[in-house]
Amino acid sequence: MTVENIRKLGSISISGINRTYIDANGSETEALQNVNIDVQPGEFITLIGPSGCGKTTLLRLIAGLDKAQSGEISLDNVLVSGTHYERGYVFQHANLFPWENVENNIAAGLKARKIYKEKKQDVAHFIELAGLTGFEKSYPHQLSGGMAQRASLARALINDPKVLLLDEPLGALDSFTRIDLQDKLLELWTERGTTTVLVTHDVDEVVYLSDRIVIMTPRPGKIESIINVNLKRPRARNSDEFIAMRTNILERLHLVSSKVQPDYYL
Amino acid sequence: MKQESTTIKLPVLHSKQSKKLDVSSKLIIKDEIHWKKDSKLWPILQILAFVAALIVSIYVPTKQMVDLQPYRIFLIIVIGFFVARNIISLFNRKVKASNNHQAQFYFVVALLLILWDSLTTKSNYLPLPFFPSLGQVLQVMVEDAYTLLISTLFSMRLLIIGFSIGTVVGLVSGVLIGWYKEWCYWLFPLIKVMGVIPVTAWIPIMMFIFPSSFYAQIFLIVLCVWFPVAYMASNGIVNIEKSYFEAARTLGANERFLIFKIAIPGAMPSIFTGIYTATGISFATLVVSEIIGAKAGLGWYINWAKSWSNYAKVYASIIVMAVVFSIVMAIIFRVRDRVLIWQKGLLK
Repeated sequence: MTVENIRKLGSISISGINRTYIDANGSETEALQNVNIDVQPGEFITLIGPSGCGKTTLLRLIAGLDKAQSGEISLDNVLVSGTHYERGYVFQHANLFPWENVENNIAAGLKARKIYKEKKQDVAHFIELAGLTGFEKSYPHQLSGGMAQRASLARALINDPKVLLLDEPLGALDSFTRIDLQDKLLELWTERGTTTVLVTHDVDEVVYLSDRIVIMTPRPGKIESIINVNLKRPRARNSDEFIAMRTNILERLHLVSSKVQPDYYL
Repeated sequence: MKQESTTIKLPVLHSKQSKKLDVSSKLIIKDEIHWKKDSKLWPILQILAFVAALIVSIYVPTKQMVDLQPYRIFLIIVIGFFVARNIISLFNRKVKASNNHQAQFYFVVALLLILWDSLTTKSNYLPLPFFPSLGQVLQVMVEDAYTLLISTLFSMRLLIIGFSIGTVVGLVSGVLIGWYKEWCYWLFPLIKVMGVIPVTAWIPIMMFIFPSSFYAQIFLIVLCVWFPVAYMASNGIVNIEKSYFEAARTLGANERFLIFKIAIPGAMPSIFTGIYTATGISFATLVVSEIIGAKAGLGWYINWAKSWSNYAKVYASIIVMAVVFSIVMAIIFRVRDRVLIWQKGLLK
């Protein structure tokens, strides 16, 4: 399949989603209220917002790991019900299977789909892609956070999913590793053209990576606004446009106070 | 100002560094694992103590009717072993470390042998037949080696068959209980109740239910292994983090994959806890059931020897049990380390 072919696939349509959690005492929490988004094929879209805004819930709904009370999600006009390997998911804490080594973790998708024998050679390719050559036989506890997350990414990508769902995959990493992996992510996305939905609360990350940014607000979780990022890639983190966009988002998230006092006077 | 601060800081830094070096060099010398690693005295003393035991056995007059030949040969073999190990340790660091580590311990063991010998064959101080000398126990072991061997093989056959069936049944039912709500609802109460009953309490009932004591014994061992393995397997599955199942499902896993590639491997640490709990219980069940109703095996041997008031044989079979059961335990630990290799580092 060529990149052009892939790009035609992977459109997500989310309409009228409501998700309410009811706890043991019977009290209700509205995690998502009337959420509507259309994601274009091959688009890199980010969900950002404070904790409790339902961004992870929305991602889990797309993955089929959770069910909404009302509303529909469809991928390429097929309704989502339950999980499917076409919707790959990368978890916050790599979530590699600790009892399998790197090689078997990355191969897990092929084994689960019973196509391991035919596609065995893919495994080596994805190990190399994740920069884990030489660590095939290592167990997850022997890997650094960045390595584990790269393995986790490779594990999701080996299934060649139409949509890649990323649940704060870089949130637990140190900033050097995070920036490094952001570039890796962008490189993979450019090469493969997979529709990507990223959940994060890192404003820099959002501006650096996204085509579109969905800003969400909590209690009840809903979409505040959707912003197009019309910056050329690769994006310079210190460019004026970048900083302007960053400030814009911080303002929308009410994280910039006008009353900030400067730290020092000249 | 700047210059001053640097001149003040420098010596401080320097002294800190030299202190650090001191600590690390001490750490290298201090070995946390080995006992008296560099002792030159104890490795020699352990040999001398066993030589003393041999001398006591040969030159102090004996007051009991015992063939001391096996005991003396045993001591000579032990002395030979330690001499050889001391020689090897001159060239091999690892051997030296473990030789030195154990030297003081074996020295005391040798003293205890001398004490035992003095209180029995040399003085007749401890009442016979209840407290025979080691010499007599070894004499019996040599004389009765064939019967002991056959008894051991019978016991092992029973243990291996019962343990294998029990583990498999325990695993299967544990996985079913841990995975399916229906199985949990109907079977878990049974496990809970059966689990608290000592299996040996069933012996009178099993003896008439089963056509032969052999099948009854196998059933008892299966039963005592089944409970801890099933319980720990189901417990292990229930406690696996949900996110592993979620990850597998997003990768396209079906239920079969979830059970065999996530639930079972994830529950393995817990399953092994169940297995070695079961091992201990199964030894007890084996011996008790053999003592009560069997016609072969180490438990039977104990009971048979007791009825002849031959306590030396009782001790002989206890020694054999210690050796055989330790080997079984070691094998199980070896298998566990192999299976749970992914956990290494997590454990320590």
